Amino acid sequence: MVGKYDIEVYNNKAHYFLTVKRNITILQGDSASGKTELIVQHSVKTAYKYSKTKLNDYYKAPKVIEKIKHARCFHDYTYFTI
Amino acid sequence: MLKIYYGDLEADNYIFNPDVFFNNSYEDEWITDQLSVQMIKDVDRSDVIGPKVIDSPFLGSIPVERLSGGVKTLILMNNDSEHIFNASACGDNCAKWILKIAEEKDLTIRLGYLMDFGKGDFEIEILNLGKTVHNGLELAEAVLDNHLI
Repeated sequence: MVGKYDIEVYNNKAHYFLTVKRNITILQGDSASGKTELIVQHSVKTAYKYSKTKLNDYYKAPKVIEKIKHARCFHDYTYFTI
Repeated sequence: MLKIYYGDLEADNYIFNPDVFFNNSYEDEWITDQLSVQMIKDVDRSDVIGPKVIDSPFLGSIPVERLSGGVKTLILMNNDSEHIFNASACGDNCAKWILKIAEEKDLTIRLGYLMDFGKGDFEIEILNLGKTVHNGLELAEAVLDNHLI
């Protein structure tokens, strides 16, 4: 991964804004502090963006696709407990 | 008494993902149990409205499946004695409840990180070593000196 990505996810109940700088990001903290809610919201947003992306957009906006790919990695790697 | 296995555990009755296991196995009376109500209030800061509805100050009315993974694991520890649960699904704010559950019965859990059990005295058997420790310092020394995690 090159650079860093700002990720913003929210619904009408919770709002997250974070910057990811590394290939693997570890979320840790107390129970019920919102880790799972962040992952669930993020995966919903990713699925939404992916379904909205038309074929032409792959060529017009490669950066968007890259972000989506990265977002999937973000989701896959952080959904496991140590 | 609380017994902890640190690191990777291979056992037929070991549950790696208590969150998913809970969603598919919990019973209504587990939720309305007095200890569960207290744990949900303390850890999730939520009120039990009934066996199928929780009132969360952050998420509104939610089903039981949206409780935190930590409190789900605590409820399992209290109600299911057949399995060993992965307590890495619990944050440090669950530690006092794990000790409380273990006061009432023998409880075996697995941990993959150094959970903070507080500054008070306790009795925890580290199964990897067959050794009993009595406070946080002894626990940390035993786990780290023996490279258990």
